[in-house]
Amino acid sequence: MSATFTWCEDNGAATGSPSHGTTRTGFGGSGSTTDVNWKSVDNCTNNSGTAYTAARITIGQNGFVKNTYAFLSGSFNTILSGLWSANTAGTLGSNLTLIGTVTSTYVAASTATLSGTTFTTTVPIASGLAVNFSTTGPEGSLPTATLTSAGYSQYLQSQLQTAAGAAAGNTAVITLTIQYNEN
Amino acid sequence: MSYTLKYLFTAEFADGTSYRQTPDDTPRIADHGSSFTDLSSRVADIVSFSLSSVADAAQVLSVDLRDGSFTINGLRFPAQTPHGIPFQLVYFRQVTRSLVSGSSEESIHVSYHIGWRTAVTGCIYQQTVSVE
Repeated sequence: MSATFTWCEDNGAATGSPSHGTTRTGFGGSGSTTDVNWKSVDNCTNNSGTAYTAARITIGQNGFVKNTYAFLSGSFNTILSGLWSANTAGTLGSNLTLIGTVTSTYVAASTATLSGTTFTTTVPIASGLAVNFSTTGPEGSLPTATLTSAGYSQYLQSQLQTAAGAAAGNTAVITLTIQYNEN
Repeated sequence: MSYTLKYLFTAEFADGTSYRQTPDDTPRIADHGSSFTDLSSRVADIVSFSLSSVADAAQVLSVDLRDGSFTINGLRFPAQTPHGIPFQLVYFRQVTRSLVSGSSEESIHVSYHIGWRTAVTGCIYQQTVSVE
């Protein structure tokens, strides 16, 4: 066995201090989200949310920011050297831009243009963004480079931005990747 | 989700005793953590550290912390460093987890790393080998 890993996602209005999403999918290891569908509604498909086919992003607009994060628990001594890339496989079409950033600040239900690193083309995980951890949640105010008991990554935020001329229909399939060392 | 360990470590100590990682990786001494946590109070006493394949016992990767040499399936590789310096154990599993947009597809890749770290004239040197 190893550390137990769960992909998680926050959605909805900001609540708490530091703030986090009102709706938490996978938080504390309850279930798992595999919904990385950038769409025109702020929810998680795997948590009774909307299918991306029913929430298309209008050309020229942005999708809602996805607040993805990881929960790690179970048998481990230390987890460290976290890295994240919003695109390790897949190439988006013209006039589509994928932006990603790692932060402890929750972005509540927003299509405002996210600033960060461009992941429109692939970024190898070795060149990914550094990820820190917190035992309280992705919003933990003092994230650290190492984790020695159950805890969370920071928010791994991503947003699909479109511009005039983008082709209609499904985008290319994109692979998001997180990497860490454990012992 | 967790993953099943493909390689288990064994630490051998200067006093001739040893400690072997359990397949479920739970500690037998510490009250939380992993098998590696059990070594934390005796790291300085480890003289060699090896990884053995669960599927094939003949596949063994080890590092000798007395001289920095590596042995892979019985073949010894001396370290190209000055002798007589202390080697600190390095052991970790590098875990790469991916999630595919528009589907429920998740994947995992794990590599196992062992080696040493040492300081020579103020510079940190690290040598590791890995197996998947």
